[in-house]
Amino acid sequence: MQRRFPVLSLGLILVLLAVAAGPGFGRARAQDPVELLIWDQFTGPETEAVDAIYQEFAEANNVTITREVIDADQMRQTLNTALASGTGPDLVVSDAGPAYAGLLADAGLIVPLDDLAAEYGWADRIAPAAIQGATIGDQLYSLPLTIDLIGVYVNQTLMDEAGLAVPTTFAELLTFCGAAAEAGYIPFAFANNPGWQAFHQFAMTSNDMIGPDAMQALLFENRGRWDSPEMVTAIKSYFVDMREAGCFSDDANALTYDDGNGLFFAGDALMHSTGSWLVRDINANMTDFEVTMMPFPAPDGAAGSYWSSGVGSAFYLSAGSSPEQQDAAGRFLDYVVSPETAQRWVGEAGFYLPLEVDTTGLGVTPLFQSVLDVLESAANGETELGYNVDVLAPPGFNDAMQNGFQAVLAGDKTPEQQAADLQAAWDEGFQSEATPAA
Amino acid sequence: MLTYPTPHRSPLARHWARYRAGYAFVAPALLLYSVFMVYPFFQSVYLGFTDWNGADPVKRWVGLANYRRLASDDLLWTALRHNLVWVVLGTVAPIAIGLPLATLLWSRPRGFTLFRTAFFLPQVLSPVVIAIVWSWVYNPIFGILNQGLDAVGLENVSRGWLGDPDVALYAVLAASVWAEVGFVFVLFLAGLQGVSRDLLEAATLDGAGRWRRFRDVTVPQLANVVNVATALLLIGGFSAFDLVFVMTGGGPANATDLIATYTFTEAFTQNRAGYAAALSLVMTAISLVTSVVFIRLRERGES
Repeated sequence: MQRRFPVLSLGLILVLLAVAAGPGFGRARAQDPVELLIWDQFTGPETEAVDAIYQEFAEANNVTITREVIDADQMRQTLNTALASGTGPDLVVSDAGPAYAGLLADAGLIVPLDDLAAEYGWADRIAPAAIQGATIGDQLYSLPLTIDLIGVYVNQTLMDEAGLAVPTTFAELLTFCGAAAEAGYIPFAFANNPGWQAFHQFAMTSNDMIGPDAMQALLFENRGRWDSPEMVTAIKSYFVDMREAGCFSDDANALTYDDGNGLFFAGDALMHSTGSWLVRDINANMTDFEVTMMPFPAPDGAAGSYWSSGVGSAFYLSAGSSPEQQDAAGRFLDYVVSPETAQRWVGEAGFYLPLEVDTTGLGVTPLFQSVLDVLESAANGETELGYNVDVLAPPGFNDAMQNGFQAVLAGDKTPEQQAADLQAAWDEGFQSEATPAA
Repeated sequence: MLTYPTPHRSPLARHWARYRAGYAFVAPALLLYSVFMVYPFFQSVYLGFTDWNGADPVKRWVGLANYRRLASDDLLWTALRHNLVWVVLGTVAPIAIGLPLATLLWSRPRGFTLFRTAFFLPQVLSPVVIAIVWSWVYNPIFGILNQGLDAVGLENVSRGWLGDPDVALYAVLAASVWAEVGFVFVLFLAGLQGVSRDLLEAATLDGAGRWRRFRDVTVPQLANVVNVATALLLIGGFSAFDLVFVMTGGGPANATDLIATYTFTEAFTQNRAGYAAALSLVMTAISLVTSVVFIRLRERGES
């Protein structure tokens, strides 16, 4: 009699489960919404707009979207494991390019998007340079969402008040630094703790020195060298000449990115060399100032003065998602780069997209519009953009940049030594890591 | 009188019958320990023999290649040197500060509770909080340290403490010492409760001065506490990570890289999980050997 009790209990539990599950129990319920888990890094003021954009798609497509916001550092530490364990997100917004996603592509944790791109005709909408930046090997592994422009912000209001002219050549820049310091200002709000900020300074000077075509050949085809005299000049210009001219604080290695931003926002510094992602914060924090943006002045012997640019954030699709989820994710990605949504990204989230976007009536600020104009000019072939180096370089090269430029700034390493170390790191990484699109 | 035959049972069965309740009590803890300590440890040993990149499903066996690479890895030796500085200063300084502080408060002077709380407070703070607070202290723009130095006319000493490769390690270490002093202080305060006051009085009657009494009477009676504090600080010194990670990330120019931060970089930035596993095992071995050697030396000294 006692032995029958477990059998009866099990039967009762099954009946209760069936009742609880409702009339659909025992057969797939076709009307169930597809569930998508999205990890993104949008931690700033754009987060509400991102929520709204996701939600609009979810409601119109019978999809449930769960959004988890994770900052870049944490994502790099957890994404591999999460995807490999099968408990990770279906879609990830992360840095584009082989430096950060090459590992995931090699391990088969993310899927190529070439078929989706062909199905939805993304190549007709998205700038070729952005497609190239999101390509690893010969396959498109991500949908580029934002594009960055790296240059120099200028506090035009304070420059005018101090009677200082905006430098157009590197020699003028060094002279300007002395004059600005005499007027009681920090010329450049450069801050280099923990060291990634130097990536962008080097991107500016190295693109200036060798020009975008040679940089493209170096990054994508391994034609050229990082230890050439031009690269040595690129390193010396920013990290030695400008330091010696008093262009930035002696303590730059001790200042965090937020410290540098704070100096510029407060009007203590007249210029700030960083990326277009800061425009929203500048608009919010510098309402009393007119701020403009310009490409870094060309050092002596340079090929020219160029903006540096690269894909910022991009969407990746997990290989572990079910076919239904991958199908829904494909539709979501197409929605993300549709003309209507693109307008919302620009107008509500303040993103720069590698797409043609009608900004009529969006009420963007003059600074924001100036960045859009440069990108549009580049898309029309009127402006040649340089390349943001770190997103296209292997991790070892970025490590050599991070620690090496700090050492040069501290006077512990010469530009020649740093250039040689970069070349060595490039050689090692180019052979072992996933390389950018050829 | 009736006697009953006792059933014959094997020694194993008898052992089980006698101790099964004990095993039942131990089992949950043993299970947790096995899952979260033993298994990961052996998994790390295994990974140390592979070239796993942290994501690839395939972990290729490379034998001792990771360990051979250790010998020629300049950054490892740099990190190891930093660890040695950290271990020596990070062990000596908290004891050198904590022991006199505990002795001063041994007689429970006025304000005892306040001082005890103040000294111990850093120990209850999260290391991340300590790192952030000390980053503010050292900040070249608004940091209280530079402002204080400027205020007393020492402008030439002011600097970007965390950005100068020559001083950054010591600057982070100072934050660690500040945090550890409270821990050592409480250990010694507890240890002092067992120190014989009769012996101290006898030494006083024999004409011993304060320093002599402290050195020859108090400290020897605290030998066990010194052992415990030293061993814990040594082990902590070899595995130090959080303060450096938050305050400098190992920079500038690797000037504050410790083995733990270097291991982290190798695993999560350079995608060399196999090599990082080998590094972590080396770190474990060094920490273990140092601690055992220290304890043996102390035991020999006492005997």
